[in-house]
Amino acid sequence: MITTFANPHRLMKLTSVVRPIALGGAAIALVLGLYQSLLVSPPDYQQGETVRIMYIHVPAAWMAMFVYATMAGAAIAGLVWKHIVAELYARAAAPLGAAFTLICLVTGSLWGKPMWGTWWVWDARLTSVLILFFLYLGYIALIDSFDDEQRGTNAGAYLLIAGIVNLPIIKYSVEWWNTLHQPASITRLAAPAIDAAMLWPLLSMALAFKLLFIGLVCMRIETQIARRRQAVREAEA
Amino acid sequence: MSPFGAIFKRDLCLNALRGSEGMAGLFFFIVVITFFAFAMNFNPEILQKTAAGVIWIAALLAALLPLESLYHRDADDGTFDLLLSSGALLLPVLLAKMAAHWIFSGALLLIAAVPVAAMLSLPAHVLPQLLLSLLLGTIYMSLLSGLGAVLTFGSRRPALLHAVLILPLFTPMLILGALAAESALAGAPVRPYLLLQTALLLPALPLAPLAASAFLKMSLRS
Repeated sequence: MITTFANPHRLMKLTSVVRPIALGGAAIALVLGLYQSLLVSPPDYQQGETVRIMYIHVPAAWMAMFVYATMAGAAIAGLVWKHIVAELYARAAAPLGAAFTLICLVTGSLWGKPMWGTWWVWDARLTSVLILFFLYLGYIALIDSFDDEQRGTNAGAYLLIAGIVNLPIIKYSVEWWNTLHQPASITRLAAPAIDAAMLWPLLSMALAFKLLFIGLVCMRIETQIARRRQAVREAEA
Repeated sequence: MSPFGAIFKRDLCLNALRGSEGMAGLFFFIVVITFFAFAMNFNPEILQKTAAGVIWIAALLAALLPLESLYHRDADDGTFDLLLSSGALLLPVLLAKMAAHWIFSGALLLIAAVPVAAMLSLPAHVLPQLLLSLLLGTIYMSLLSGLGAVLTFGSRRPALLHAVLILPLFTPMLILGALAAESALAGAPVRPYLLLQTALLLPALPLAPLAASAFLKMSLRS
């Protein structure tokens, strides 16, 4: 199983099946989720209509952390097993993770203006997400600055692992320095502190973001393989 | 002489011989803080409140300056290849480099921080606590920046990358350092923050040189 997809041909076969399914699913979930969240779900009793920003903001924030965690996991797998898929994945996912983090920051800022009366506060959680964004940018800058692509991938893997230190700090920053940002209300051990009418559109949007990510990662992996093949062909010619 | 001692002594001598290049971090530190005082219009109240933060930032940025002469010169002229083919353990070599980096970025700046803190009208009773907190922070910075420097070996623009790679990783330490300085100014206990800083530093002490040596072995052999 582990060695099966180390063959780029078989890997491309897999991604060519997964990609359309994921992108199609993402489109359906996005349409359903947007309809639900923008039209069906009730406005918040305190925040009014602005609460709808949550349906973009929260899934983006989940993805920002999820993508980083999977990239770090792939970095470890890449170093231990020298597995080509792990290395391709980390390179492919980085700009997507950075984009989700940026979406999270921008929507958070747009949400902060009406709610907190300011575009930006140096709240612990905002600051940590900003640092996460810098980690993504640092990784992209590092892997892009080597003539030898493999070397960049290796250096990036070590950077990703060093950056894992920051993920728990982001996660627990709200509890440690309890400032403006509200604590998590979905993943509590008790029942979620959010009404079902808001929870379903939120989960639908989260599913859409995740499927979109999977589809785009497949595309980026295929592009990388195609580019490498092109480079080999040019070297042979 | 042990590999650690030999490399440590060599790097100290080489960097000291380079004179102004070796001392660039120190000059940078003093100049940045002086210019900050200009920018704040020498307002003693603002300076006193912001002194600790400015000293932290200036020390962090100054620590990035000696990286090229300590690490990249040895990578470019083949010293690291020679060390690796000699069969010497890379771990003591890298620890020695990080220690030498700390002498030039940490130790010198800690000494310079004493008059600088007075220039920024920081109360004298805060100074020992700030220095202790800076001591832990600068050691951590030397470890992280050593790892960051090794990761950029062979890249096209290492100096530019250093800031982007190393500074985000330093965030937790800077937050704790800033909290320690704030409590010290307010007369509150500083010990919890110093202990947390130590807790961050201790795992990094073996892990940063280990990761750097693992990466070096991997990239020099390929």
